[in-house]
Amino acid sequence: MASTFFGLTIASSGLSTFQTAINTTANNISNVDTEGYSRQEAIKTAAEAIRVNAKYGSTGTGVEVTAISQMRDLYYDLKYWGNSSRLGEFQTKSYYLNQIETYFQDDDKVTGFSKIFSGMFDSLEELKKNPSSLDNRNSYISSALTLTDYFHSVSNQLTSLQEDINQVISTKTAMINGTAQKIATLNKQINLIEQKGGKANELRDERAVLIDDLSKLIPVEVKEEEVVNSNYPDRYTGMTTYTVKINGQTLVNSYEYNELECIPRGKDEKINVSDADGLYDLYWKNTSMKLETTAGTMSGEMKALFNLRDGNNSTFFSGEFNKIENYIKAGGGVASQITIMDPTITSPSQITMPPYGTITIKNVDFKYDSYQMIEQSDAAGNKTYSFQFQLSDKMEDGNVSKLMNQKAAVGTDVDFMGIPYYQTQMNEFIRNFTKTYNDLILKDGVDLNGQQTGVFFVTDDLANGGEYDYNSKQYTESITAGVTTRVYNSDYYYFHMNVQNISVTDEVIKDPRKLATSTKNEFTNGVSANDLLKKLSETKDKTIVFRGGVGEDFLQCLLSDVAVDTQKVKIFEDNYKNLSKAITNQRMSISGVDNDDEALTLVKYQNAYKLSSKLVSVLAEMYDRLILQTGV
Amino acid sequence: MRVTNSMITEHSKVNINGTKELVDKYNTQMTDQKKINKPSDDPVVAIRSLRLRNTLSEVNQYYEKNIPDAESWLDVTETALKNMSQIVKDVYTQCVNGSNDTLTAEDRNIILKNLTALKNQLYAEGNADYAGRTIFTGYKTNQSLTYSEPNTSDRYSIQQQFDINDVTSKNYFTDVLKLPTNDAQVQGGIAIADEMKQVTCDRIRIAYEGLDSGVAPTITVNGATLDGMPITYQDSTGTTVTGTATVATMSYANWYAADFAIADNQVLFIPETGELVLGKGVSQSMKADAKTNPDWKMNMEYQKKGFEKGDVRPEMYFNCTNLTDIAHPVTYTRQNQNIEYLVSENQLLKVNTQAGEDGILSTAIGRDIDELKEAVSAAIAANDKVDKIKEMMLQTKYADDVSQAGLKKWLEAANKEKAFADDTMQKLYGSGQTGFQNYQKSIDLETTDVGSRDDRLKLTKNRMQTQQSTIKKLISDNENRNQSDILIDYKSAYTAYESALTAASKANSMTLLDYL
Repeated sequence: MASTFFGLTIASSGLSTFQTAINTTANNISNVDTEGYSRQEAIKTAAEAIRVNAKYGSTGTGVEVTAISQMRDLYYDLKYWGNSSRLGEFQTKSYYLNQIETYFQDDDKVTGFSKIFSGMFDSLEELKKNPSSLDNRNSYISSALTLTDYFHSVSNQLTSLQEDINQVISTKTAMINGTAQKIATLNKQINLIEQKGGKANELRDERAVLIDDLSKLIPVEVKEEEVVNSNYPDRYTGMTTYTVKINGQTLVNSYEYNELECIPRGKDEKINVSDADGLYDLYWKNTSMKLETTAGTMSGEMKALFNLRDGNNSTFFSGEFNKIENYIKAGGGVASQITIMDPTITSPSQITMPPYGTITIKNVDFKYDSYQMIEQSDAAGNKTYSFQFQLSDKMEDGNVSKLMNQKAAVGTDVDFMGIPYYQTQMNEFIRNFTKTYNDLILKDGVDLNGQQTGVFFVTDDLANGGEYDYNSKQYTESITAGVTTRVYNSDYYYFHMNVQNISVTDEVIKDPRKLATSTKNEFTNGVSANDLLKKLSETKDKTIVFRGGVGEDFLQCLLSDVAVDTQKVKIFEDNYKNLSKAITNQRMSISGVDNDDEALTLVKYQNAYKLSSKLVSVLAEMYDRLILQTGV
Repeated sequence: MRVTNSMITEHSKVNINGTKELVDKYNTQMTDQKKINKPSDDPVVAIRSLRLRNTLSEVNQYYEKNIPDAESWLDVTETALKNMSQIVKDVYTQCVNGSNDTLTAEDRNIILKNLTALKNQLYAEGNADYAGRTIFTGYKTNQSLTYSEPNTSDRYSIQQQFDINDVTSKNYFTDVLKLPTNDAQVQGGIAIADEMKQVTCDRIRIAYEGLDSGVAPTITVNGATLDGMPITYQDSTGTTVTGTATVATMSYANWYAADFAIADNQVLFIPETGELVLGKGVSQSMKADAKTNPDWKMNMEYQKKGFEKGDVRPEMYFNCTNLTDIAHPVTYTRQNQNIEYLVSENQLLKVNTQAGEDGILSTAIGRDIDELKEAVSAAIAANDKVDKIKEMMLQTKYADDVSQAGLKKWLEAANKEKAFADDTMQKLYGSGQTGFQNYQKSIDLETTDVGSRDDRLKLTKNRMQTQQSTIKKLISDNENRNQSDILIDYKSAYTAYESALTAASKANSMTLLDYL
């Protein structure tokens, strides 16, 4: 027979159990609005039976709370983290693309490229009607200046946006590092607690919230595995290993974490010539390996930021490394000159390489000091292009044999229409347009005094002031055996010209009489001869200058690029938002605290507690009767 | 599925936000009535909008700037041409009046004054300008058509082309009478040999007078130099003679002194009057050539230094070279210089009218008027002389018979001169009538041309006006939304918003605990 007071034990077990259960419910109710909180449940099991020396053999011993566990479904967590990185990617892209869109806006409220461009040609029309009037000349020159100013301002806005994004990248990297550190600390704390039995519910919730935030920035793979004591594989140790990986590379491994650092690109490591200085690349601090943030398998806000900042829509320079020869550098020392054939860039206006920088041949970087673009046209008019790069150092023979005929590139292929893409598109347009325009003037244009003029659109030398000299920076041409070879140096005038430094020549601004409006032949016929102006006005809508279209279609090309892209990103964002909503629903359905639920539970446990306490009083009465009133 | 209160709250939040987004969108649309806020809202609408605005700005340029400018230019041209036509008509009227026999001395003086004034006025009209740019000078809109002041320094080498119709005949009169100044002359009378005689010569009139005598002109006929060119003609006896033409320069004074003698094969260049006089043989030969050769042309290059007020600037009409700065000669080529304004898509309209030898305001008009003036002056002088001698005959000083006989002889000579002068004047008036009518016709032709261009411009203006309003409508259709549509949408969005709010308030107010 069991002990007399055994019932009391049972009752008291009920009391304490239901007290714990009510505490758990109280915890749930207090945390009904806490973010990331999963509702907890007291798991009650019947306490172990004890053997009793009676006919019924064993008797139960009451109830005990074996664990307070959280209701959480790892499946939905994983789904949520997977979706959240894509949502983050498209949200960030949408945010920044909306900004870029406003730079190219041109409607009733904002004066954009189309208005300014047609304004310039309207001034040209007025000038055509009366070429000798100084007023008309002035107004035409200032409308041309407005055009160049427009390009400056758009480019500046894009560059400063690029720098902003760069800063954001740096901030978010710090966030990633901080989060990794916190996760590692939590891992340790969780293991400490769970080792001694039980579950560290609050800490697990905290850790899950950290992963929620992290998954927005980068795609994470989370794995938690039980630690198995190899000597006693069946024993429950209570410890787990928790790994967080980014795209296959370990960020957190239980108690250790790896940090990412932002290393700015050097002046000679620019990928695109219009890039801002010091753009960051992400490297792992421990291995110094680069984290490819724009790879196809990446997603998350970081990928969006890098895509926006570096996206060039594959308009970068690449070709096949074909020939090498050594030469003596100007300052002494031997260096290599390499020839690249089959380049992707086949027009001087599409150049995206900076005058000195880094060229990569099959993942090996080489610094170059200068380059030439060589265009060969044969008698039939077919053109072949090749490039020669003068490297800073000699390439080792081992490398030469390994890298011969491999792909060479300056910059990487970032398949997104990001800021560098728009900068190079604008560059291409202004180079083509100004070259067509300048060539017409240089051919035989004369000003009001009958003098030959220089070019109209010039490149300012932003570093030293003044303008680049046009005549000294031209290509050289030679003809051998019917093949015309044109060599463009890296300081070719139109390579230098970009959206930042395009301007109208000072000569004409100071003295509008120096604007060329007539050809040499027509000049003696009088000041109203305007045949040159007629040819110039054709550059608006009759000459092909950009992507198979005429000058005034430029903004349409670019605006359709950005508008369609933004719309696409918005659609994706909406899709992922809806998915996210559905997954969050499921998560909340499983883990959320329901007021009515808890209220019922409260009532249930309250009653149970009342019963248990009633039981105690009943037993007490029994004992009282037994002890005090039975027998003596 | 287990639904928690927080899920309900979350959903209410999302729904309210969704309806608020719509309310915000239609709110913005109500203010600016535009379908899209940014291009990504609807890229097709955005790009279409760009295209339409481009076209609109072009049409605006045509309609609001180019077309009014062209209209003004054409108006000024038409006014000037009308004035010119009137002036030439006045000269014609003078010719008609003058061809009447009964003219007094006063009439002739008045006619002379009028002709001078008309000639000045005519060429002054040629200098008409629009906003500071002369309208009849082609591209040289910063220069006047004629010299506004006498110029002594400009030297030009001018090339002029003539065809066979420029060979006209003119009467020259030798021995212009000089009144007797003393008694001996009165009594001596005047010898027959000293009386005026008429010499008729064929000549080509050059565009200018007062040419440079120091430089011999280069003359080519159909490419061959005139000096030394073979000619074939029939002389006064009727025999066919072959010879060579010779060119010589002679001053007018010398030729007058030689009684306008010219050999059959001679060509004389008279720089003071700007004439090229042809000997009978030469002109006969040329006319015969021209009958067989319809492309007969004579090219002449001569130099002129110094210009009078009212002379046409050579560079406006002729191929010439400005030799004023001998180190830097400037060559001008006469060509059709059209100032064209773009009045519509790919439509150019010529707005200017160019004066020229073959158009309006040729130098021939001026020289014709000058010849008329000369003839009138000669007639005035001749009639004066007759009157003077008649007066002398009545004087008691010369009452004696010898003087009377002498004066009678003088009177005969003077009457002869008067007859010649009056006759020349009549003939010139007669031919002037046709001549000036023709000039007026050419001006009127030009006026018609200007008028037809004006009509074309009006049509284009109408078209542009319609096109402008069409494009504006297209832009509006593309970008704007109907205000009533927006209001309806806004109302329904707002209603949805209100119902979302009501639902939210109901859903989150009660829990089980309210009932326990």
